[in-house]
Amino acid sequence: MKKLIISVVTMMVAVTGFAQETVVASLSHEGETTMFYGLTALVNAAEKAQSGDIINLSRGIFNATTIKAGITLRGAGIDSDDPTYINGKLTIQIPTEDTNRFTIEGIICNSEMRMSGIFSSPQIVKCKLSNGFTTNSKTDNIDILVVNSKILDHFNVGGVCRASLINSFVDGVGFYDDAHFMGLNCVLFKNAMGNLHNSVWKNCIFATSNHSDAALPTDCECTNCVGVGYNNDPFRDLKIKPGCSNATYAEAFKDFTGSYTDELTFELSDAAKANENFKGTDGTQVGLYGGPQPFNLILSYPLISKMEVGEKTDDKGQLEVTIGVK
Amino acid sequence: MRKYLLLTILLSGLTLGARGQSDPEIDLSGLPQKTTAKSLRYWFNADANSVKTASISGSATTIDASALKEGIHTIHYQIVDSKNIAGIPASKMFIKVDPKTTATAKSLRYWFDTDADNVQTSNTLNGAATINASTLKEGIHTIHYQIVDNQGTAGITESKMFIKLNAMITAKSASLRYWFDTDANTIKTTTTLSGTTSIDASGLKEGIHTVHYQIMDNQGTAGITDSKMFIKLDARVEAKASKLRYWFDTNKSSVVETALAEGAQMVDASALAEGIHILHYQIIDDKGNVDIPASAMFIKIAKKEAAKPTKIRYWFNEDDANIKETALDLANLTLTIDASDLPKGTHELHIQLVTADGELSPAITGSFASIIIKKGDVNNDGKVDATDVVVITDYMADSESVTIDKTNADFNDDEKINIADVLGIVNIIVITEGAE
Repeated sequence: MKKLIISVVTMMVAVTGFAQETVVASLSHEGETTMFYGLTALVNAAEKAQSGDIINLSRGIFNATTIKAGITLRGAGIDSDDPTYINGKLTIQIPTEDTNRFTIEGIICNSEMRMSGIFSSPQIVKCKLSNGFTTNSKTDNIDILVVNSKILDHFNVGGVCRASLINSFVDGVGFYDDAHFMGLNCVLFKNAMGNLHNSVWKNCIFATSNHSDAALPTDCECTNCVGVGYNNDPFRDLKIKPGCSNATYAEAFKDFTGSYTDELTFELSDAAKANENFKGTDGTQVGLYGGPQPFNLILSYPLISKMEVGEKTDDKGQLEVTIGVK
Repeated sequence: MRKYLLLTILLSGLTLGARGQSDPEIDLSGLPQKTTAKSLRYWFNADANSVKTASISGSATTIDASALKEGIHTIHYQIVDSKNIAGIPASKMFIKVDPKTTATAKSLRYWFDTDADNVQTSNTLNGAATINASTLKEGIHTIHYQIVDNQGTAGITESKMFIKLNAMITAKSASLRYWFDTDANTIKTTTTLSGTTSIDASGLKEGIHTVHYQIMDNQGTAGITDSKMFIKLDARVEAKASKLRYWFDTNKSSVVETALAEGAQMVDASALAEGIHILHYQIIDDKGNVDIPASAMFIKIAKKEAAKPTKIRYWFNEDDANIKETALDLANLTLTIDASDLPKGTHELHIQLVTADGELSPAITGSFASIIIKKGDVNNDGKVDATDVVVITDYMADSESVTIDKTNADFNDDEKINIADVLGIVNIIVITEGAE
């Protein structure tokens, strides 16, 4: 309930902030660009999009839709003052014969993202999924890649899907059926630990709540991972757990004490950075900021980070505009 | 982890054991009394101080070998009958296999000394494999063995040296002293002997050596020194790694074999999707032996540098049919945009970055007011044309019902709207059309 209220307030603040500006979705298809405006811009652009196309979303709120082609969906980043939001359930349902992968980058999804079907490896990059992720059915067969993202509430993967989580914060990992996970340099919070069968984790931090069952199943493998929490050892039942250890929140993190807020960095404490137990298999630190893809929100495409437009033109119709480029 | 090894003792063995223990039992009436096997006493290698007991049930008895390292061992066991009388000890040599290996291991091939023509196979590989050394004479031997996986591929040959001792000697002997070559100062001892005893030749270089050994009885008396010459060979030295065999994740159908390169070995992961993967690999030697698979986790991610923008493109409101482009100077990000074609009022400006290859950024939007005074643009549509003449004429006929931009309509700035303004506007239109 609390989460719902926070989401609604956030959306209202966001709506107020953007009420005076029209949001734009630009659809790029083989060198041609088509613009769509307003709340339904994404819905209309996605309807016209073909496999391999790119849809760029401006700052502001867009209504969600169902993506039916292997397209790239780009936003203004999740760390800017005015991010791109998608409101409502975003469904990804791409035909098996479409070999282009779906990529979403730099977007906050206010509602659940859902994937279903059998299709090429979708990527979730530098996104925040405020209300979780789930696959749809036991027949789903998707290789899901999550990089430098924050997934809140749940990350439920089923069917015969495979999920690779890289340098991401994930709240509530759970998987079902024959799905399996591999994770590298992640912070995993309040997970359904007992469900993580046949999963392989390296250099990750398992931040447990006070669940009495917060233990990973015996067929799970962990290497150089750290358990953080309420005196639970999440690795206690594992057969393969080289380099794994346990610590308290205070020992491990600079700013994370067991409750999520958007402002948290999940950086290790200075003591942890100097502690061998917090070194990963590659010698860098465990958690979000070590490994081959340290957490950052710099997008893979250029972005206008700010625009200051003169209040009015001069009497000759000239307008002064200052932009920032990332 | 397999905590327990299940060593299957064949039913025939049990029968023999039971028969053996009836020998000393003589009934007062002169008839042997029949007993039944109740339990099994056993110990491993030279560690007779750690005798364990397992109850006998059916044809198999579970033996706890969890404390043993992987490698060759000897189990010594005695059947204890229902009158608690232990039978004559028997011994069996076996190999404890690495639990990781047993996941794919199907059987064990082995042979002794140089007798590679007499390869024996053990299909019982549930953590331990029983070795039949019964045909060997007492003395020093080498066992060579290979794990065969479920694809029928034999792994690299491992070799271990051991001494097979006379069972009658071992009944009262307590230990074995041995040393190599002329190094009598480095005597090694193994306690309690029976059947076979491993000797540690790991410190020796490959080549010809002599082992000297003495049996010590339980009174501490050393027997006659015996010596045997032997060649220490390293199976790995003989076999030269020649190829690499690898596959990714669970896709064993796409196994690749490639010649081993000097230094770093490249593997082709180009067909893999971005994400986390597991590389499984095996070394194949020049004799075709395939090593036990090893695995390593890695990630494949195309690190893409964001392309630098070279231009900006912009348009007003929803007029994307009239997008304008201008060069972008990253050192000077303050731009002057020409909005002179816009009528007075509030407008939106949309800007996107454009990279050299035409890639676009998400648009950014800002609002502004146009205050340009365009004399003659009576209807404030950004243009001065015949429509403005019609509108100003209508206004002059009925100023109540027609709305005009009075600043633009007052062409001569005399603060009146009249025929002089109409003539001025017509004049502008004529000049403009003439110029076009």
